[in-house]
Amino acid sequence: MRRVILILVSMWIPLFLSGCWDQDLLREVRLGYGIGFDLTPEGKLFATLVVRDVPSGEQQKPIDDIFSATSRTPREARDKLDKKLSGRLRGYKYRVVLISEERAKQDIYPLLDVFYRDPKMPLNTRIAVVKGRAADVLFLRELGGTVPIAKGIDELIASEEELTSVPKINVRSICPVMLDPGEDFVLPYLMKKEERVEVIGTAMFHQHQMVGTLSPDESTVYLLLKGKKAELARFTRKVEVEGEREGESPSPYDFITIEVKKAKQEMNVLVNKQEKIKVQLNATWKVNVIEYPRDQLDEESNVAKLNKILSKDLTRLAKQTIQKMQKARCDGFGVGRQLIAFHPEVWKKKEKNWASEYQQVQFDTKVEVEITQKGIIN
Amino acid sequence: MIKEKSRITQGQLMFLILQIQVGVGILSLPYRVQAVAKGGGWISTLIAGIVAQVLILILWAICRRYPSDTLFTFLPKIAGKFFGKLLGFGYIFHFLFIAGIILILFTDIVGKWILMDTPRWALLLLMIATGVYLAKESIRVIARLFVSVSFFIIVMVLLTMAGYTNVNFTYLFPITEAGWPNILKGSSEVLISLVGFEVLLVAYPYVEGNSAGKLKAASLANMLTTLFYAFEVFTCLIIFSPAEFPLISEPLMYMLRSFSIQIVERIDLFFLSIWVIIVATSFVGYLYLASTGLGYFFHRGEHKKAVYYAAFVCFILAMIPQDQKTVELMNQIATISAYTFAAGIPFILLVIAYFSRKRRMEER
Amino acid sequence: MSFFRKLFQNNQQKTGQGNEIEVFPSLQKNIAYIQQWLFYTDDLKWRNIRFNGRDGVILYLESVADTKEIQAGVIKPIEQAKEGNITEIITAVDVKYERKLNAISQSLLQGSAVLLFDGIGEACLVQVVASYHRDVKEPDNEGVVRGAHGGFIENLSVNLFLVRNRLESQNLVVRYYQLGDATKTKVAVLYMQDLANPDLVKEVDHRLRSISIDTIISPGYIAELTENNPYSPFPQILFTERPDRTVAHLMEGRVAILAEGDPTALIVPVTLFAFYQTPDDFHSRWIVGSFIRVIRLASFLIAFQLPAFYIAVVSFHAEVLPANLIDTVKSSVERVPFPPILEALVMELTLELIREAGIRLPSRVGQTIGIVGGLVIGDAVVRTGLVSYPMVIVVSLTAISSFVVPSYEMSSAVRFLRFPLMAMAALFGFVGIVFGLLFIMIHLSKLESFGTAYLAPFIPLRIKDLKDTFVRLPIWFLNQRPHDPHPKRLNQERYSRGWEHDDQGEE
Repeated sequence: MRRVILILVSMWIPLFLSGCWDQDLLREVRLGYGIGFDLTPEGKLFATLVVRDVPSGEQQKPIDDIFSATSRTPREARDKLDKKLSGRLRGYKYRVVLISEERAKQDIYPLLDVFYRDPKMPLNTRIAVVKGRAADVLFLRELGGTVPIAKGIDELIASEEELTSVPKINVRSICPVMLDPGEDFVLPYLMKKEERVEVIGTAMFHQHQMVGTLSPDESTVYLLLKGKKAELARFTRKVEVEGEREGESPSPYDFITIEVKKAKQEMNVLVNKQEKIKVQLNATWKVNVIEYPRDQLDEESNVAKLNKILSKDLTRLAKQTIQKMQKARCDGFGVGRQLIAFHPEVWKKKEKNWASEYQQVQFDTKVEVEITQKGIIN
Repeated sequence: MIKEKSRITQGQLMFLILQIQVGVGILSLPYRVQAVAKGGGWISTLIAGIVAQVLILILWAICRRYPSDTLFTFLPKIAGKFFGKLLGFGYIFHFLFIAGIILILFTDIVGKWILMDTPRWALLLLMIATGVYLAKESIRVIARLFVSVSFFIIVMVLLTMAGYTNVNFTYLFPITEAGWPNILKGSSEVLISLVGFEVLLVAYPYVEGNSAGKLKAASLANMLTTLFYAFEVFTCLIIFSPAEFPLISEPLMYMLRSFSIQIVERIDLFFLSIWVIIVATSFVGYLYLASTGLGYFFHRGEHKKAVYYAAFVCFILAMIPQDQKTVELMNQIATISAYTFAAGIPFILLVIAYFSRKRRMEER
Repeated sequence: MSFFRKLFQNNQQKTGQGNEIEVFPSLQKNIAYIQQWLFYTDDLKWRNIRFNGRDGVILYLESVADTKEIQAGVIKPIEQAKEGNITEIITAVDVKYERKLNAISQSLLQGSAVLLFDGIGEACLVQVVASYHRDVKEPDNEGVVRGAHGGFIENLSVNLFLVRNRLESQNLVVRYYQLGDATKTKVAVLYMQDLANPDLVKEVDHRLRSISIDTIISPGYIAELTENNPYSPFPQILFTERPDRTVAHLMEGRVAILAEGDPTALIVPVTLFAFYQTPDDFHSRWIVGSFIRVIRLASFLIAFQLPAFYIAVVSFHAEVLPANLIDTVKSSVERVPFPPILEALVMELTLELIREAGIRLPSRVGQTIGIVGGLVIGDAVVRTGLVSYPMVIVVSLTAISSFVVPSYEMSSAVRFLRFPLMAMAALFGFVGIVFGLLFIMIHLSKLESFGTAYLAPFIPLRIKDLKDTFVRLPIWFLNQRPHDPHPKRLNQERYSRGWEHDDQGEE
């Protein structure tokens, strides 16, 4: 019995003596919710931090506290920011990392290294590129006057992900791709428009640097071709039907909105004897017509015609997207990855200047659209 | 000879071996294998499993000759009184050393991932107190606990499944990128993590049933461990790109860092907590083995008394390394020790036992 | 110590042998002896009678004996008959003769009337014990929604009646023991001859016989003197006041111990899971029963882990909370001036205080405690910012979960276990909790109750018995008794739903 008492008593002693070594009390920390990186004219890093202030009263909405610091590295920036802050700054709940376009055109890996290295940092943080300054976006403080900025941007990107217009990625999931020589990634591309923030497509990356942008439609096509369809994927396309008058502004009757229900795609990387690389990219999309004022979808011939027009149109769009990517050297489809995996000898030869080799790759793209549903009217 | 109360069933033997095998190495295993064998790492793991199976066969073949003897009682019968004792002490040292290494790696990883500022002695004390509390019991109680704790291995597999939301199978290819020699070399890395089947040497006489059944249990345990390892290695291989691998020394933990289940994020912390249990079982296993040896030599077979100072020796061992270099060195010693005592010596013993029996037959 | 005990025991036996005096021929001498033996206690009464022409006396203790019964069953027949054979005349049921004065005096204490006659060296003992017992009522601490509502009472023979009544089998064996050198408490051990393992019965017998103590007041005494590991926080003997539960356990081959003067049956051996079962599980449909049982077992985990988990989260691993949740939690803990462990300790101890006060007070005042505890403390403590809202939620959840346990002893054990776990969590976070749990698990797997592993059928694993452990499968699935008490016969159900196949044949 004495033993038991001894154990029980001795367990409590250290609690009141020294506290605990690793204790990191939630009530004492200040949580960083978002961070933005810009480039100063001198080439230094300009970091803007969003710290969440939670008033302790009931039913009071949280406020974001925003301030900046200039430094050489992200960690130094954080230490400088911490000096301006009461309480210890903790980064384990970052929801977004924003990088200005200017900064993204340089190597972005150093910005993220601390996320990968520190076991306390979150890896499911969303990351996006901002046209203009990231600080400007964060200093909006609130989105639409109600939602705090960091949370707002996080949710904004999340809803765009559902629409397949930006990829579903976070700090963690871009890492393997970023380090892999045979594949590149794209990030959401934001812009401040008046007092709101808008997703204006995606930013293409090559290795660690940003190399160009894609428009929302191009982004969706790219993601669909890659097989990354999210909940919804919609296109509004102009379908020129006969009897169209020239010179007039397009009437709403000329447009169709489709929703891709099922996307099937197949990518084949072929290498011929001359070690020319050819990529066959075939996609079949089963779509649902969700807006088409011209109606008349009960007639087989009309549907067939529409299928044809849409196929042609979207194939063109796909080709345009791929061209843009090739020009920017962004190997978003992982052609290099396929070479590494299945044609290692070819890869060995092309590895050195893969970027320029990639631009030479011949893409054979084809999109087949098939209308399968048309809502409850014809 | 063996009391009815301390007998274990064959199923319990299986889990005993399984729990001692699956241990501290699992977190960094994919990293170590990939470094050598690249995309063929999972093949290395399977090969290592087969090698371990052969070793189990050797151990079993020795044990079968002395169905009611543990390692320490049959060693003198094979190698003579003096050498038998010497080898016995060698084995005790081996067990203690492995236990010490387990403690070192445990504090290392916990100190790296969650408790950065907690002093090493505090963590060691936690682990050793728990270990002693169990290791002083009979093998039956230990085996019973190991059976139910094995449930956590299933949880580990399920947690790993979370990783399959974002995988890229092309990272595996080309499978033989590193070449077969390297794949074989990779399997030697795995073999160290498969060590633990030596428990058969001590546990054998405690197990009910015939020798074939015991072999089956041990083999099944080894197979399950191998499959579990192969699964984990495979998963890591398709999640991390080859270029990313060298950066991450505990890939299993790392891959779970970004996943979340509705109400909790950071599954890796839960994974680590489960891993702590798995490590504790391995530690208890080795502590028990060492203290049975010490008990046999100094306390007339009562291992209970030996547990305390055996644990103290482990504590001292684990307090020695203060930098990564010493850890590496001790790790290497442990590797050599494992090869010697789990593979080399048993093989020699088997040969000696075989020939001495033959000679005896001829003399007759 | 044992030397002294031996010495003491020997002395007792010697004095006992010295007192083996036979009945004196003289009536007065006998009365004087008995009076002296009872130290002239005032409730020793006697009445003179005449029978067969001899002077006699009826002695009894008015506090134990039923005077009406003496009047109707002894005095009246004797007065009427005047002479004859005394056993034939007396209408009371239990009559016996005794020569030893010592035993005669002892029987007075047990409620006999003693008939002594001048010149006869033998006394006639008539059992006329008065019994005052309350009605058979449903036990307050083990209520059920449906099913039998009877419970044991403070009278052993009524309790035995309740069991026998439910189990009309020749195999039900009752063995009496007398425990307590001063109290002489009558204890009955019940078991099924064809089911209970003989080793188990022998073990129970052995442990009961080795009890050497002056007083046995509550069954807690017997439990503490016989259980395997008295240092463990876990109860190793099941206490129940329900005859139906007792019978169910007897039919699983366990042993029940009942004591005079207490409505509690002690059941051995038991496993942890027995504490989480109630007769209600079998009265409701099996799906519902299983569901409730799973909830109950989950409550076991919640009850001792939730505070520790919460402490670990807010003081070590806040990163496990998702972004939306962390705001809520953080805004609430922000104002609290204490470390979470202190906060939790204060709240948990307050809860224990309220609970303890609630039990001791009469029910009318008890309501006040509820108001003071729940409203005043619960609300005020948060409003002043001494304790955070989540902590209050955590503490109340733990309290509720711990009260779900059908056994009061287990519920206390679980509530006690929280404290070491909380300390571990405050020291090492998740790692501390894991080690704490591992420690408890090791402890549980070491623990045995009368030769049965405490965590059976989970440790050691026996898949067949899991059918009635975490869930309750339909009764026709449970073909075998649980294995943990090592019953002599395993089969308990054969082919009860055979009629299903009969019906098909007719069609």
